[in-house]
Amino acid sequence: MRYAMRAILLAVCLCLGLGSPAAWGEEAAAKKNTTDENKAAVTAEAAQKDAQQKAKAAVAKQAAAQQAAAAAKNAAVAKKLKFIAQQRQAKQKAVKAKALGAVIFLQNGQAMRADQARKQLRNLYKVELAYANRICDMSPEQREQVAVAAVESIDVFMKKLSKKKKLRARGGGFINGQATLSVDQRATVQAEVKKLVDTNLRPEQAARYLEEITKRDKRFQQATVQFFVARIDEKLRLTEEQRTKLQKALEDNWREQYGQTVEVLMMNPQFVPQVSSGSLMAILDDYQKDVWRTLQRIGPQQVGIFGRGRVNEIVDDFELPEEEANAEPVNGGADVLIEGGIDVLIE
Amino acid sequence: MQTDVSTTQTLPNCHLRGRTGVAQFLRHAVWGGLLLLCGFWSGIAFGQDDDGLVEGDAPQPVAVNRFQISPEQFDQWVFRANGNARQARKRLDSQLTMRMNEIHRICSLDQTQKQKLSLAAAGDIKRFYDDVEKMRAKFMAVRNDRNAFGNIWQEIQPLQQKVSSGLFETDSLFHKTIRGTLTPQQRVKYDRAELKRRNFRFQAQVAVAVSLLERRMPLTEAQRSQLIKLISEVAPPPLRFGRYDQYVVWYFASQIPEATVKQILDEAQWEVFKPQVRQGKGMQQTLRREGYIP
Repeated sequence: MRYAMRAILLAVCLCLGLGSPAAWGEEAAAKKNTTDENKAAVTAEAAQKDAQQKAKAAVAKQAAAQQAAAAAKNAAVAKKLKFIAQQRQAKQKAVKAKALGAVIFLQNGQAMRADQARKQLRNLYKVELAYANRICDMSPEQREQVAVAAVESIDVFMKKLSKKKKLRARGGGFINGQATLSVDQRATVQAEVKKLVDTNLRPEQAARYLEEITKRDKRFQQATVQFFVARIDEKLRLTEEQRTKLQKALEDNWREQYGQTVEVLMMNPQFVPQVSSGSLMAILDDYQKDVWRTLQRIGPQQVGIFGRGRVNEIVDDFELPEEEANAEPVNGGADVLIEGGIDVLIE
Repeated sequence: MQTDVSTTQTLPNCHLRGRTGVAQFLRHAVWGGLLLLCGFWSGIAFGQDDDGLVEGDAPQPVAVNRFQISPEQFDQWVFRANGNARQARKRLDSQLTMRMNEIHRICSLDQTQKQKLSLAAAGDIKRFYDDVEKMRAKFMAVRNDRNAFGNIWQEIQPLQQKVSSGLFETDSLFHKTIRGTLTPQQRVKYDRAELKRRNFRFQAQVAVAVSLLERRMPLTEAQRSQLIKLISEVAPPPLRFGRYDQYVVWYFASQIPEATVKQILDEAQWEVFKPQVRQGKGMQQTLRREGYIP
């Protein structure tokens, strides 16, 4: 019984709890509707979310694409700039290399190409060889032999000049951005020709040549010193005794640089030569010393590697073999300037 | 030198700039054009608004002239190594004493002659310093005026040269007085000494000119000696010396008969020598005008 009661009570409770079968149907329908609605909402929400995600992805993709495009553009610009910079560097390097490679000299501010400089060097050789020929009276065979050796000597000479220029360039000897060399090479040419004479001619011919060049050098020294004394005499009114003493003192203490002063002195009468002060002061009286101190003195002037003057108007009767037109120029045939003048203006 | 120039210009080094220079120029031209265009448009715009303005109301730009040269610069230019006027005066006294000593050494001057020459020299010195002071006044008036200053520099230079060459040279009162002061015997002595000096100088000049010619036309010792002798002895030395000295030598060489020179030189040498003497001969008028030759 007790069990039956419990069963009935359970059934009542169940009935109360679950409702009637009719209510069950309504509830089920309502429940179904709600479920459907929920499902639809979820679906819509999911679709919305999906759309949003898709839109986001599309935006992100677009942004990424834009970024990639910008990066590519930047990379291209950077590449282009790098290329331009490289080109510029290469160009600057080439210009610098050309400047370094060029044997640069200045002759009274006149520029000169390498082949022109070479021609002038040949002229210096020709003059000196013509001199040697007049003294040594060379036979045709000797002339030919000396001429061939002279051309080889010129080649070596140009290479040496080029090396000197490079040394100078490293030392900072630049004019208008180009390396310079301005040492007068005439004495070197004379020494080179003497070597040619010694090597290719008979000993008695070489001895005659040596004797003549010694006399020539002596004459030049005497002339220069006499000119110096005359110029100082004009300004200081020397006595005859003073002139003689000064001449002797300067000849005894000859300096190679005097030879580079005389030419410019001749064209500039307002200057007096810069001579050894000791030699002069020992000779002058007090008034002359006083005046000497006010005079404008001039020292050796750089006259360029081939000196001053018309180097193309020369005694041209010693033939040298013609050089090939396409002969390899020294340092790629860059421009050559020759330095000289009283004052070289450097910008 | 206290030169303050407000618009210092640097000369363009055109030949070195090349393409860069052209590009720069074009850039400047484009910018300049744009600026002009802007100015033009703004000018029109301002013009529309300016109807009420009276001409002259607009502020005018003031030109600032900062060109200045210090007064001390004048002495430095005129007296150069002598320092200033006072120091230069001391040196001129030394120069005068030097000249007087020289003449006395040759001619043994008496007291009256010395006084006469000193007086003449004092006249030269006074005349020079008068010129200096006149020039100084001119200088002071224009030292801040760039345009006027350019001309005065031309006038300062002769004074400078006078100090440099000495006040008692050929055109001086002192020089002119020497001849009038000396007795005939003294004059002979003086002329002889002067001739000796001129000969010495001319010989040196000829020797140097021939040496320099040898750089293009080599000579044997025998040829050299003969040529120097011929040129030195063809006529008395020039009356004066100066910047035409080298031409004087070749003018004198042109006076030597061609046949004589050809005896010394060979054919190739003559071809080089010929244009040299031709140039000397071409200078005849100039040398005469400048007082080198009679």
